[in-house]
Amino acid sequence: MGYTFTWDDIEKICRKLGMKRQGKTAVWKGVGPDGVKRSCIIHAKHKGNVGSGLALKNAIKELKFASVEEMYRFLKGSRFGQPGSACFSFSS
Amino acid sequence: MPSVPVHEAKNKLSALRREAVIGKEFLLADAKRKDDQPVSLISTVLLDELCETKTFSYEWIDGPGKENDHYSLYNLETGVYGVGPTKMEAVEDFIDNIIDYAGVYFDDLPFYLSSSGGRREHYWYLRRVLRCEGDRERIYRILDLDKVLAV
Repeated sequence: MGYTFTWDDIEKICRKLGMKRQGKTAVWKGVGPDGVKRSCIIHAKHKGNVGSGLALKNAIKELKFASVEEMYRFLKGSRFGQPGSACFSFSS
Repeated sequence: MPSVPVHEAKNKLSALRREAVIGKEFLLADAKRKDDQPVSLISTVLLDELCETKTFSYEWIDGPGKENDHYSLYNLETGVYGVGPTKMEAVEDFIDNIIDYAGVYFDDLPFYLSSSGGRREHYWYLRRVLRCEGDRERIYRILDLDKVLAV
């Protein structure tokens, strides 16, 4: 199943992960509820969807999810995507 | 490698600098902070040459299609990307983003250099960006961005 994300979605995910925009830059960073340090670039000026390749890189490399699916569940706030739930896990 | 106490280095900094310019490296030792990591006084040119081995590689990971109308250019070494409706605009966006990232990175080195952050290895790549002092043409040249437009 394919998952699509808008740039607003990525911003919401970053906020939920305790990240904050750094001044007027495109860089967001912070320490999540799991204690993991994350940093990510968000294109506030872009509208529409994030490309699937970039969504995958964002999910795994920058935001430390195990998969795009897990990031989608985290965004939707399902039981399986909440930090601390039995099915929630970040890759290290 | 010569180790010079800080109080001694203060008194002969010009002489040490002259020797460093021709390639000598000095370790500055602080007797009051024995647990601190050593700090070097070394030629900037030598460091720049060392950094030249840190080359940037890229992938076009997205192109215009059904769900997305942009190109995404991704740098494998730093995870920085650029997005745009054309490849050239994606490259320009990449330059904006890597300038932003280098600035934020060097403003909060404890965060990015910590072993748990997984971004320590970005240091020398971003130092190359920082040394360009915001000159976009120089960044374009030094980061080999002409190659990505040839693909």
